[in-house]
Amino acid sequence: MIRVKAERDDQGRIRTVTVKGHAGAGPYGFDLVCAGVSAVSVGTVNAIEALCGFDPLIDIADDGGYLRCGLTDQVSDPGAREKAELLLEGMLVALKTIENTYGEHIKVTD
Amino acid sequence: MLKLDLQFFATKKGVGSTKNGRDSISKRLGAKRADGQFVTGGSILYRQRGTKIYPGKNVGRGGDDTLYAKVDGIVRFERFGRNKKRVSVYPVAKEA
Repeated sequence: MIRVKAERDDQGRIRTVTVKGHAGAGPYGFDLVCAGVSAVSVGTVNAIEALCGFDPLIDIADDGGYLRCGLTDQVSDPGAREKAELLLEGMLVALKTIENTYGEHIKVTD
Repeated sequence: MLKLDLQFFATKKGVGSTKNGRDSISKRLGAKRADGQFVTGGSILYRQRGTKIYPGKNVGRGGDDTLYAKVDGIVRFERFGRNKKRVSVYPVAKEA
């Protein structure tokens, strides 16, 4: 079961998203849920880097199964931070969409 | 940029199950008395499957090919033919 946890600050703005666990929806190489979650989460992290002009705080497990993406407080351009927050919100929407269909393999808490 | 592994959140790399992993309880075969050792009649000398060691003088062979002494005496492991071995028991008056 993959567990997704979003943490927000007191104004409700998203600060970090943690994705951890294993989908267990199929043997290695054929796990569709894992593929979807991997694509959405890694894709979003790369999008923040490419489109927002700063590197988010990334914590990743080498052997897989753990990815944490956090927005630093020292982002000079407020617009860039808003764009990054929007991308993370989009990531949550996408992961919730996967959860709607494959709820036994992924759980999103926000 | 993070490199995408579409199985990043998949269960560990498929470790194939093995059909092995079973073994019978070891039967502790082999010599139970040493060469030159004094034994009493009925003592087990050698546990074996088949006749790795053949019965020699004053030595009997049980149903499971176990070799045992028929008399009190000294154990001798000897050559038997070109490439065989046998065990014998030579009676000797045990010093009082």
